[in-house]
Order: sequence, then C-alpha cells, then structure tokens
Amino acid sequence: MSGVRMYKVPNRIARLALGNGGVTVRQAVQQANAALDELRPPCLEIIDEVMAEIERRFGAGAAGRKAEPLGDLYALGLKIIEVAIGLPNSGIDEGARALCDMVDRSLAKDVVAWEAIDVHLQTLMLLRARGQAFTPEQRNAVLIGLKKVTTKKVGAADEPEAT
Amino acid sequence: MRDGDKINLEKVQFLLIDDNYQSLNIMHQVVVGFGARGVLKCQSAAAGREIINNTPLDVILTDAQMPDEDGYSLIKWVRRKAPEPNRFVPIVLVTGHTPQSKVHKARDCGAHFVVAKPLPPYVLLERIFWSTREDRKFVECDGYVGPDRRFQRLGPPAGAEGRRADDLKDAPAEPNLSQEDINAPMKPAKVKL
Repeated sequence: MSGVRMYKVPNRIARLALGNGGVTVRQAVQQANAALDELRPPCLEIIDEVMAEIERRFGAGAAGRKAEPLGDLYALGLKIIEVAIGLPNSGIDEGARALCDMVDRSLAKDVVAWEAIDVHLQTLMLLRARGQAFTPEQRNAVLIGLKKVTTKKVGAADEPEAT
Repeated sequence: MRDGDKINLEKVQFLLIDDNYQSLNIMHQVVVGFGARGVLKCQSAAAGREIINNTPLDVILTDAQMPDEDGYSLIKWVRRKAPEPNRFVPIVLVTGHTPQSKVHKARDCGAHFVVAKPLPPYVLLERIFWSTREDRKFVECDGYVGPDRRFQRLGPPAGAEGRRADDLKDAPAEPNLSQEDINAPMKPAKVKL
C-alpha cells in the first residue's frame, strides 16, 4: 500500500436505527437496567468466589503467595470489574480497577509491594461489605487513598488512566 | 443524545464477543434491553471471524482481553481483511482496565469507541447513537486502516502546513477550552444574588 486513501463509507446503522418506531433513550436505558437485574445475583456470587480466590492465593495469610504470578492477580481484578453489576453503587469496580492499576504498574516497574497489595485487598473486602452504604464522597476518599498507597509503595504512574 | 431522542435497534445486527461467559451475558442483556433483536454472540476472536466472514453486521462489541487472540488484533483484521460491508462496521471495544496506552492502542487498531466495564447502559447506548451520526471518512495507509482519527477538525499544528485539501486554514493554534478547563484556572465561585 502506498500513499493514503480516504473515502466515505455508507452508514448502515443510521439507515436502520433512525427510521420509524423504536423507543426513547430514557426507555431504552430503563429496559437495559431492568434486563440486568436478573444477572445481579449470579454476578455477586462470582464476585465472592473471585475474592475468596484472591484471598486464598494472595492474601496476607497465604503461605505460598510469593510464588504466585502477579499477572494472575491482575486477571482476578479484571474478573471483578466484569461482573461488578452484581454490587452496584459499591465502588467495587473502582477498587478492582485500582488493584489492576497497581499490579500493572508493579509489573512494569518490576516491583512487588505486598503492603500495597494487602491494603488493596482489605479495601476490596470493605467495599464488598459496606460499599453500598458509603456516600459517594466516602467511596471517593477510599479510592484516593488507594492511589496514594500505590504511588508511595510502587511509584508514580508513567501514564494516566483514561476516564 | 437526549433522553427524548428515539432509536430503533430492532433491525440492527449486533455481534458480541467476550471470552467471559457472564460478561458476554451482561452485554447481551443490555443490547436486548435496548430493543435489539438481531444479536449474535461468541466467546473467541476465532469464532467472531467466522461470523464476520459470513454475516453482514451493523455493530460489533468486542472485549479487549481474550486468551487466544485479543480484541485489538481482531479489530486490525476486520479493518484489513474482513469482507465488505463488515470492514467498515462500527466497533466498540469494551475493557476493564483503561490506561491511556490501551485507549490509544484501540484507536490505532481502528476501533470507533472504547467503553470501560462494567458496561454502563447509558454510555453504551450513547456510543451506538454516535455511530448513527458517524460521518468520519475511512483512512487506508501503510500503518493504519480505520475511521479517521483526526475527527476534531482542529487544523494542522500551529506553524505547520496542512497535508489535506480540506485542512482548515488559519486555524487557531490551540483548541477551544471546555468549560471545565476554563473554570480550572479561574476558580469561579457561586454567589447568592
């Protein structure tokens, strides 16, 4: 391929979605949220299973945790994010994202900060147990605390997290 | 997108790809909740390729992290090798972890949008809605195939000659600030009148 080609392509979805009928944005979002309700209980079960696995393999009491691959902790954190609809308005998704961010940064810097891992795991347990009772300000304070711990124990981010 | 805007997804053909069964179900429930009837789903990029090769699609939602082949690689393949019209289909990459490098990577693979998990219905619908208004041209060159990444129309950098016939002339050297950006250095205070 040499040079640059730029061209218009047909917008099929516009033709199909902006025709007659359909629902309003408000209705569509309400319907989607209602459809998610039946998935919340199994998602909460998965959150609990994943947290139990994290605790068993990476918790402060896990004898063999230093031999566990840190990448697995990242993958477990991602699993929590994926099913976080099981515990809405608890901040558990943000807590798990903070865990992934900390592990990602640890792997990049070749640092394993067990104190930071312990704080993140304790915070996840706190958010699981009481996150929904927290005010948004309280949850935000918890998450800011996690970021500070990561910066102090692992180092500053090389790149910002996109929002 | 406003709450009162109407959208009809009954005839829109979706393809959902995620290796995580529960996450795939979440995507499915959300899209069906929006009113979609044509929804195909699969749990690997390889299965996705099979569908993309054989079925005309209108929107693809794919997970970023999958074990055998990730979403980024799949999107690159779609943009270069998939049959038309699927080569041009709007693709939304969904991902749990969104460092800036991954968002840039998604853009540079040819994704239209990136949505962070856990999939918020409003945000996903907004991206689908944006797709209906999509008027970006498609770009093909050695390093990139996909929707035009220069969609903000800010013109060439200050002091540089634009390379395109439709580059804005005498464009401002800096982009307009958003109200939040403007507020940051000004510290406006609410006062009671």
